[in-house]
Amino acid sequence: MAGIACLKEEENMKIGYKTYLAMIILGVLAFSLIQAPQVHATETSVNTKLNAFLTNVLRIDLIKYTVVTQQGYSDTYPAKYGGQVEEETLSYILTTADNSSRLNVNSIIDRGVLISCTCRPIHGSLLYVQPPSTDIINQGSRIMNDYRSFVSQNYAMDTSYLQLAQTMLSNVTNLTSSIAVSGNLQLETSQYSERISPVTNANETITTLHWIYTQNGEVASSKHIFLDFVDGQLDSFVDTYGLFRIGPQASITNAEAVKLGFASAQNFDVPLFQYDANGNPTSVKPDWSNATYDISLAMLPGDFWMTQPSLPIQLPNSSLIPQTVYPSNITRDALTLYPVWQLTFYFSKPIGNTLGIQVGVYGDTGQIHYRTYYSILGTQQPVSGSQALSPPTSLNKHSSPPPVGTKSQNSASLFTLPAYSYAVIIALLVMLAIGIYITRRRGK
Amino acid sequence: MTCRKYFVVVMIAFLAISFISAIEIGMTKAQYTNGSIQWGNMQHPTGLEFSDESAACYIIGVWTTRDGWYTNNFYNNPNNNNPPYSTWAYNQLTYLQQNYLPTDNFWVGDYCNAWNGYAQHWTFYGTPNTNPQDLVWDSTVNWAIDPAESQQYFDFIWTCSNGGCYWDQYLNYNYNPPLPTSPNNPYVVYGFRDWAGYCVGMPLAWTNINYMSIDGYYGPDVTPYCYIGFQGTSVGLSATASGSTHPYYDFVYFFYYYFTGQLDGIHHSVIDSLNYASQNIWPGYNFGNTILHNGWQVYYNGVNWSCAMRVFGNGWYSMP
Repeated sequence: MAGIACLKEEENMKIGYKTYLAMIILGVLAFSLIQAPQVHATETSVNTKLNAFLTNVLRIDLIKYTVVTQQGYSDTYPAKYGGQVEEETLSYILTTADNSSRLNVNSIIDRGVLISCTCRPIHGSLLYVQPPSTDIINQGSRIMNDYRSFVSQNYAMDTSYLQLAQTMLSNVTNLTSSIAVSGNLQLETSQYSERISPVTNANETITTLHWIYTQNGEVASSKHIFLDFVDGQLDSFVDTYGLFRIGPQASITNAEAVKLGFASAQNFDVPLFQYDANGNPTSVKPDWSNATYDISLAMLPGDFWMTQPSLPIQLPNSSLIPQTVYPSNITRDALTLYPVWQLTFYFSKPIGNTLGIQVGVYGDTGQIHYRTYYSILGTQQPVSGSQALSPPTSLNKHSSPPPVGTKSQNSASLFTLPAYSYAVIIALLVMLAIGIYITRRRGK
Repeated sequence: MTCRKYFVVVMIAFLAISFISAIEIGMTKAQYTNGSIQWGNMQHPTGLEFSDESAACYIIGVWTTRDGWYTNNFYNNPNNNNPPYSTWAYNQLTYLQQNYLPTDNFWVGDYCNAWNGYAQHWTFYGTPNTNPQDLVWDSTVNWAIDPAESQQYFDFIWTCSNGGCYWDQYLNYNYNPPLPTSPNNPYVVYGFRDWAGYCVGMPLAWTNINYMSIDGYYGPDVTPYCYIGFQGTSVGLSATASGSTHPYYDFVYFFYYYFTGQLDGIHHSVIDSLNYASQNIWPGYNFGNTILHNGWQVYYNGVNWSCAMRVFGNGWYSMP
C-alpha cells in the first residue's frame, strides 16, 4: 500500500511538473503575443505618420508605389539626448509597378514627432499627386503650409513658429544668398549650380531654405527648420525646433572667453614633438609669441559630452594624453541648449601637423569644457629628394616580378590557379575516358 | 569487362576530382564574399590623434567581421615595415583583385605629395618617414588594380588632399581650388595618367574609372563605386567638430555604425549613413548642410586652403 501511495505521489508530481511546464510555455506564448503587437504597433504608427507626411506634405502619389526592400526600423534612447528621448528611424525603398520610379525614404522620429525626412529618387522621377511649382519660393511656401496642417493634426504643438517661417519665406526676393531675421527666426537661403559629371558636364542646382532660432544675436543652430531642393524637387526636410529648449544666455563676454581659453590652451600639457630629418623626435613646447585665434559662440545641447569626463590615455610609447573633456560643474540637460565659446588658438608655427589647440569655454559659467589638438592629416610640401620611383618602372605589371612576398601573398597563392583551370582538367579527363572507352570497344 | 572496369575507374576518378574541385572552389567562395580593409599611418604616430585613428580602424574591423567579411586591420604598419608598407598594400590589393573580393576600404592617416620625375603624385604615409619607397603612391595603388575592373567599390579616405578635383578638362592645375559648393569649384577632374602612363590622383587610382560623378551626394551616378575623400586639408579625428562638442572620430563611428547595419540590421547607403552620422554630431543636420560638405578654410604654410569632404560616384552604394 505504501508502494502504491508512493507511486501516486510520484504521478501527482509528474502531473505537477507537466502543468508547470505547460504554464511556462503558455506564459512565454502570452508574453510573445503581447509584445509582438506592441512592437508592430509602434512601427506601424511611425509608418502611418511617415506615409501621411509623404502624401499630405510632400504630395507624393504613394498609391503608385510599393515597398520593395525590407524596412530598416530601429527604436533607441540615444545618449545624445541623455537617454530621455525615444528615437525611431524608419527607412525603405519604394518602386512603381513598372519600376520607372524608385525612391529612397529615410526618416527620424523623436518622441513620436517626425524631425527628419529625406526622400530621393534613385531612378526616374518622383511621382506627385500634383506636380510641384517650379518656383522654389512658391513650392516652399506650399510645403510649409501643408506641414503646419500636418503638425496641427498629428501633434499637440504650437505652430506659430511655422506661421512666422512661412511669412518670412514669402518676403524672400533673392534665393542665391540672403539672410533675414524676424522675431526669433533667422532665414538663410542659398542656391548654387554644380557640375556633377566630368564627362557630360551635367549640372545640378541645389537650393536651401534654413530657419534657425536666434536670440540677441546668438544662433542656436540645433533648433531649426531646413529644406533643401535638388533641381527643384524637395530632397530633405528637417524640423528640430520643438525638440530643444533654450538655456541661459552667455554672461561671459568674447574678450573674457579669449582670456580664459588662451590661459587654458597654454597650460594644456600635451606631448608635442618636432622631428629631425631622420625622424627622431624631440619634445617641444609650442611657441605662443605670435599666436592667433578664431572664436565663435555656439548654443550646444547639454549631452553626455557636458556631463561625462574623458579619461587620460596612456599610449604605447608611454606618452600621456591628458584629460580633454571636463564635466560641467552644474547640471546640464541634454535637450537644453547652452552657450559655449569655441576657440582655436594657433601656434606661431605649426608643430608637425598640429596647428594649435582648441578650447571650449562655457558661456554661462566660464568653466573650461574641453581642450584638444587642432591638427591636419598631411603635409603639403614636396618630399625633398623624392626623385626615386616608388611606382613601378614598367607599365606592364604582369611582365615585372611582383614585390617581395608576404604572408598575404602566400595566402593568395592558394587561389592562384584560376577557376577555369579546373574546367580544363575535367574536360581533358572526360576526353581521355571517352577515348579509352572507344578504343577498347573497337578492340573488341 | 576490363574496358568497362577501366572506364568505371576513370569515371569515378573524374567524379572524385570534380567533387573535390567543386568543394575547394565552393569553400574558397563561401569562405569570404567581401573584403574590408582598414589602412593608414601618421607621419608621426603620437598623441590623441593616433589613439583615435587606431580606435576607428579597430571598431570598423569588428563590425565588418560580424558580417563574415574578409577583414584586415593594417593601421600603423602591423608588420614592422618588413616588407615596406607600400609593398604590403600592393600585395593586399593584388590579392583582393585576383580573388574578386569586392572591398570596402577605410584609410586614415597622413597624406604626402611627392614627385616621381614625371608629375606630382598623391601618396599616403605607410610608415612614419618620407622615404619614397615607404609612401603608398596613387600609381602603386592603381598598378595593383589596372587594367582589371577595380574590386575596391567603396573607399573612405580620411587624409588631406586625396579627394579633390584639382584639374580642369585641359588638365590645368590648381592645388587650392575654390570650395566645392558656392562659389562653385570649376575643376572637374579628379585624376588622370601622366605622360609616362602613371595614375595621378587617388580617386582614379582606387576605382580605375574616370567618369564618376563629382558630387555623389546630391548627384549620385549609377557606377558601382563610391569614393569619399578630402579636398585640401582634412581635420584630425581628435579635433572637435565646429558647432558641436563631438570629435570627428564620432562622425566616423556613427557613419560605420549605420553603414554596417549595427542600428537596425540593414546595410544603409553611403548617403543615408553620411546623414545619420551628421545627425548625431549636429542634431537636425543632414550631411549636405554641414561644414564637412560645405567646406571651410585652413591657413597653413602661408596659404588659406579651401577644404571639404567630397563624395564621388554612387552615393547609393551600400554594403552587399
